[in-house]
Amino acid sequence: MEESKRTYIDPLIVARLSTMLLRARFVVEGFIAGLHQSPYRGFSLEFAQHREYSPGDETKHVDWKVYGRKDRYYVKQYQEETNLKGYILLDRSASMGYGREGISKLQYGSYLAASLAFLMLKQQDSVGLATFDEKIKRYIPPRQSKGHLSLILEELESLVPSSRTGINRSLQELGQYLKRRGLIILISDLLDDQEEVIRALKYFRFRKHEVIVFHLLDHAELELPFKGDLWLEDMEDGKRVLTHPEVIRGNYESILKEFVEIYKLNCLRTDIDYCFIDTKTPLDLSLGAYLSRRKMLR
Amino acid sequence: MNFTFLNPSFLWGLPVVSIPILIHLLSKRRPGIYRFSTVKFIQLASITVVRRFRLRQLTLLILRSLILLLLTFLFARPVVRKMPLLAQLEGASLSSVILIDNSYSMGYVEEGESRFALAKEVAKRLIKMMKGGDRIALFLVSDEVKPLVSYLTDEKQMLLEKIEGVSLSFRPTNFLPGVSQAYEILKESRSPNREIILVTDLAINGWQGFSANAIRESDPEVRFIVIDLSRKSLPNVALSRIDCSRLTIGESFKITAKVKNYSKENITHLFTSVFLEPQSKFQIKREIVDKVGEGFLDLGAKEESAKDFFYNFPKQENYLGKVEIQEDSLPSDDRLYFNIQALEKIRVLLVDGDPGISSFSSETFYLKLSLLPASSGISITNSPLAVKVVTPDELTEETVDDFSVIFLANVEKVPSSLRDRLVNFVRKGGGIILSLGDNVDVTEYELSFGDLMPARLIESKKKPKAEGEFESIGFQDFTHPILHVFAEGREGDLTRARFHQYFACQAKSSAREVLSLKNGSPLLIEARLPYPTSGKVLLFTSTLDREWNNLPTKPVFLPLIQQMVRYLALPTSREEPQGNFLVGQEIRYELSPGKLIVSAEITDPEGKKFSVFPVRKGDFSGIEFGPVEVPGVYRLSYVVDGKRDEKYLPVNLDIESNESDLTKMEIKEIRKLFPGAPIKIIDDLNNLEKEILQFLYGKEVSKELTLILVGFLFLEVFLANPHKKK
Repeated sequence: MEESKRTYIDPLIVARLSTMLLRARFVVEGFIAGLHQSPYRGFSLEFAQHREYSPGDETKHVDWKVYGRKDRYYVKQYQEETNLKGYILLDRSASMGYGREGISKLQYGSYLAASLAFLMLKQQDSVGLATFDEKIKRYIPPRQSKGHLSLILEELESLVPSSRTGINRSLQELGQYLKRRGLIILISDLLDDQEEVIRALKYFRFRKHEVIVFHLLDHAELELPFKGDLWLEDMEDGKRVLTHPEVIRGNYESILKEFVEIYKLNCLRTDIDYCFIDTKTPLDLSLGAYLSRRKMLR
Repeated sequence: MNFTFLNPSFLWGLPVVSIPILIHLLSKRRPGIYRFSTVKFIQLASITVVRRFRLRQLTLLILRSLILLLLTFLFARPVVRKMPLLAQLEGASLSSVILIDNSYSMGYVEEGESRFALAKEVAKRLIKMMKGGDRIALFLVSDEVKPLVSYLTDEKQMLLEKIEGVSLSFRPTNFLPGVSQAYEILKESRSPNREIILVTDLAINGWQGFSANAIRESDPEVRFIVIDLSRKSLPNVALSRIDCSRLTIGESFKITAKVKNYSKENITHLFTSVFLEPQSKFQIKREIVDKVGEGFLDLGAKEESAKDFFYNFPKQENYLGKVEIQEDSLPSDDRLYFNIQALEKIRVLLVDGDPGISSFSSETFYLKLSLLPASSGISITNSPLAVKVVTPDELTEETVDDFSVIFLANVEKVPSSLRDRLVNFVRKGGGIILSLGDNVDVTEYELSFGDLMPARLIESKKKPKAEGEFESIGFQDFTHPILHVFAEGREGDLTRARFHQYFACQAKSSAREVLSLKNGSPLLIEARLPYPTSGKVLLFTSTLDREWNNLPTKPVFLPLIQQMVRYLALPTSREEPQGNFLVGQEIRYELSPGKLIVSAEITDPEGKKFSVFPVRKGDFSGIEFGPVEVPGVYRLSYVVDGKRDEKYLPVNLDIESNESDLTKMEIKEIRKLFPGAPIKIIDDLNNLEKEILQFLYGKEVSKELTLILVGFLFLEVFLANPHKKK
């Protein structure tokens, strides 16, 4: 009931905000404000506040001193602490530049990356960013400092889609930078050789990294809503195909569904969080995927 | 097959067919270019779907064009016909010649109704179909063309009345003259629609000798409609022929009836009967009632069999006969009439020129013996011959006209008082056989017989018997009726006889040598007399006893003498019963020349009387009447030389025309007879009018086109709204 009343954060509204910092804060704070109780607060060593006991709370957290004073049960809540290193890997290839209505996949991915970075830094994690097309174009190593966020946001604001996608190569390249296990967040449309991508993701899992994949696709890519005969030109290699969208729509949807299903299935098998995102999806909902994974890491 | 339209003005709407094509072409704009993240999936999705889609689009385009085409056609009311496109115009006047098959095979009765009655009904229905401006001519067709209305007329009532009054003929069929005449009549017509309608049972006989090339006025624009009245091949048996052996009173008379089965099934126990009645008892308008024989006959499929009946005539007279078989569905060919003459005994006078003391030594001993053979199994009283022997002196006392044949055996000479009587005897039809011998006076013979003698006698030739010399027969004319029975040695060998003596003679140029000796000398000669209606004279140049030869001792002697007598005694053709006329022919009856016929009258089997006038054309002198149309016995009454006489003449169907064969002419064979001509054969009488109208004006196919259109519309809806996969 409460969930249905909640207002989600529309990516289009986010896009209207002037800076990436504002966007990230808007998303993250909006997201947090939407939660009545943060399950991610109150279990670190640094005390934060008391909360009245409720059935199900462990008795070891009961503050007996307060009970002595007030004759009521309160449990202690603590500020969370972590030493997690997060690597956000954002696809900036030409296909990510596609967006039929409103924002492109790259914009959506940037907002998502900024929000994640903001949230992670707020949670005392260190966060880094790598942007790639055929290879990694820019790598910002993970830091926990406040100033580090502006560096990441600056990079995200300056992104322009270019060149072909090379997820496999980029992941291999990233592997060289990772010295200890961390959280790898891949934000991409995954329009690359599917087997190669899956093999690379499996490699990270093999190296005990946690992996979250945000699979971004524009709504038009899902439904092919065009009418009449069209020459469709590939944004990456410029190849043109004459087609009748209305005719092939059914077939196309089946093929795309299968494409997504293969990723989903392989991710499930290798314990990778796979989050399929239509760019119409509210950004805070997308953040949820990260948080569920973060919880598992505790 | 042609398409025409009842409302052709709607065909101006045909350009609408191009609308779907124009829409297709106009809507086929240049496709825009759109940048898309990847075309990999597009390519995969397009592999089969697009090809199928384009095929469906093309199908839809064709289908929509066809729908519009059909709609246009429906408004124009299409009509299918097998005719030339411009010849038939609905509403234009129609000229028809109706030919009704009137041959006797149309008398076949099926389900209580004859085919001819059915044909009349059909013709009436055809006439009732007439509309304003239509004209019809009407003919009955057998082997003659009988006009009922010989010109094209629109008087429907008159045509109907004419049909009502017609009756079936007894003639065979020949369609050629009728069809030719129909073409000729239609040639005069200016109507764009012309047709010949033949109402027939399609019996095969009518088409014998028929060919389109034989029709001079043949016109490919005239449609030919055959209305087939035959339902199925039904059995028919017909009497095909009557043969009578002609004998004299006292002999058993054989009547052979030949019956033909025209059907494909065997027929057993077919009841056959023969009736005979003396002409003196016969009454016109009444059938011959005296049954003299009956029996059963088995017939194989398509087979002809004969049934023999035997009868002894009680007295000399002309008889009328009828053979009848059990009546079937075509009764007219189940009886045949004939007449026959029962002759009295042949009276033979033997003039013995050398009577002996005993009969054995007489010149005529062997002759008499051969003419009255007591051991032949026939008693003398029952013998067909009556023989009397006289001497030359007694001859003057005899009435020679009482005899049919006179033998003058070794008679020296004929008394002068007898010469004229003998010449008259021959002129009246009597027969004389002259056999020679020692007594013969050559000069007297020449004087006595003159023109009657077939040869001029020269001298007697003799071979010494003691030295074993003899002459034998070297030449035999087996074509002569006397020697027919000796052909192929059936009755013995004449050449075995030895001749020691004979008269050398020189045969007259007009005479016919029947037998000659090896040395070329004639032995038996027949005179060819200058009188056309005379009897016959034979000259035997040796003796008819053993005096000059041993022929009388040979077995061949008896048949030779019998044959000679029969040949001389039997009447000439003039006296034979004339008759066995056929329906459709003229009765041409010849009477003796020189006789003055004052008046003649023919009475037909139904009792109708017709006066006829005597005709004299060259050698022919008699009466001509006809052609006759009804089978049966006709009576010819005439007064000649002041004396009234009557003859009865049987008239039969022309069975040999094969009209009784009801085998149906194959449709494809009929079509072959009219190569390239518009021809329609209708056998469904229930839909007669409909089929004729369809043939004339074609069949409107709007209903069929509507069904196709609905089908196309459903198909269009189906193709235009493909079932989407969920």
